[in-house]
Amino acid sequence: MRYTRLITILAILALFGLVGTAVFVYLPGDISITPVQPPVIFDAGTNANQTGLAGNTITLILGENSSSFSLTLHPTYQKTYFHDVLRIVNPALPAGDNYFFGIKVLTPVSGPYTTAQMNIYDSSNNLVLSVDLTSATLQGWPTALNDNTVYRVDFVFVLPENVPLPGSTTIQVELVYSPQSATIPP
Amino acid sequence: MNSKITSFLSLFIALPILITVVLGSVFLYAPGNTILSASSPDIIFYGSTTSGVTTVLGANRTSANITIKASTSPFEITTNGDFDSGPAPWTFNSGTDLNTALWYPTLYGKTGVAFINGSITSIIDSAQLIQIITWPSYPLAWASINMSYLIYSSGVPLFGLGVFSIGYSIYDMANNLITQGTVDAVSGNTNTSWKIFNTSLNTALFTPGENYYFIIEFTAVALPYAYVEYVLDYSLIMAQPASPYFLGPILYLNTTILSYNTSLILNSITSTGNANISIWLRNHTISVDSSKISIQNSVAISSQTSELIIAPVGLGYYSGDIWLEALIDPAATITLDLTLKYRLYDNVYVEYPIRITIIDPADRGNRNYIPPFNNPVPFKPSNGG
Repeated sequence: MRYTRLITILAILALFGLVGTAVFVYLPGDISITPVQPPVIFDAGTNANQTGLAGNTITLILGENSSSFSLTLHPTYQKTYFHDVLRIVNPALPAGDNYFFGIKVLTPVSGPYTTAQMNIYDSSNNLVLSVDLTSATLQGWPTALNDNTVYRVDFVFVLPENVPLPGSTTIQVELVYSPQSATIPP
Repeated sequence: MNSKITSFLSLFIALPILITVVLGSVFLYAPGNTILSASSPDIIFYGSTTSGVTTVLGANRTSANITIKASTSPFEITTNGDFDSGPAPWTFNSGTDLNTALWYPTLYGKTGVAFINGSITSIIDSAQLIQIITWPSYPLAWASINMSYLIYSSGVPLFGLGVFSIGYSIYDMANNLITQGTVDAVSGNTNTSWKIFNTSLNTALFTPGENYYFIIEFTAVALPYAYVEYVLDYSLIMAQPASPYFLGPILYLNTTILSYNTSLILNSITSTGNANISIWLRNHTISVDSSKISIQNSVAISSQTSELIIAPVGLGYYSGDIWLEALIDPAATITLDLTLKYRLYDNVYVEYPIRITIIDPADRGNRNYIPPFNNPVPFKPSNGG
């Protein structure tokens, strides 16, 4: 009698084990991926692709959908200021889409440059955001980039004259934007 | 009933969190690269050779630290009044017979002279050497005209008439006579001996900062005939400032590839004692000045010049220079921090730092001219005056 009860308990446990490995439950879900045009784009400033110092060209290459840029600048010794070479645009269409943004410096510039800034101005020439391009951080988050807004982007570099002329170097940044401001971008 | 309330509350709390999570999950990343390819400076500085100016340039000639010794030494209001650097800026207003004016590197034992001659056949004739002077804009202790000259004449008959004179006059730009006088008048045939003439000017007759015509007039009266030469070794207007003073180019700029719009900006003044200072840019090629930075009683009245275009020039010349005029209190020291700003269009701006220190006492030294030409050079004809 005592063994019969034990065997029954073991059989039930075994049954549960068999059931646990044999039962799968599938809950359906659909993920619809519909790519849209980037709601915020880069555009050329009035001085992009114009002649710069000593005959060098301020070269701006925009990505296929204006969602990336590559800019070549030729600073010289002391303080060099590049005016209106790039723009950040939240177009009028689609209407009503407001965003917040920041600039993430992925690859900063280091010495011999003592100052490297990306300065962003609104249409009234008010400074919206000054990004320190020597610091690998997300900067300016969350700065408003409302619908139908064009921001002008200038660059400032300071190169001390008591050093040899440095070779070419690349600063990598990301424009990070989102419709909300509560969460810091990952 | 309790479970319904619990479910409702749970939904009430969960929904906002869900919305936040949904919004927070959308971030867009738009990449950008900025490639820095530094270039050599197109505008670079050169130190001034002006006496009393000491310049320390930065390693790549894009900064300058300038010390200027102001002085109470007499200085020249005229430009090239000693004719040691050629005929400019003098111009010649020719007469009918006195129709030749040449600059000689050496003549009659002098270095750098103005030579005017002619055969007088029309009884009376005259000609003028003219230059525009700017009267200093500050108090002067005194001013004077100083001349070294000779008058050589020949061919005057024994009982003929021959009178040859040199005079001076100063007119304002509206052609009103300010002052005039006779330097010398000789008669008959003369030899080539040098003479000296000095006379003081009444400084009260002149308006500070105004321009004037300074005219040397040569007059010949001959009957029936004579040949005459007027030779000037120098014809100076000199003055002594009432306080330590400096005027001259303090820094040269050169661009080798492109033309740029340049300007000067005054950032700060540190002063012990009062100073009146003007600073401006000059383009020699087109003879144009920018507007001036103006400091009065050590306070900036105007802290920025207008823009001046400077362009590449030939080897051995400079595209432009920075001029400074200063009148300071005795024993004063003034330090100015400025920025030279230049741009190509409205796209790239470059800024170079400049520090200027103006001090007393003076030690301006002596000028040491080297004649620039080896052959006679005609004076430029005058446009009147």
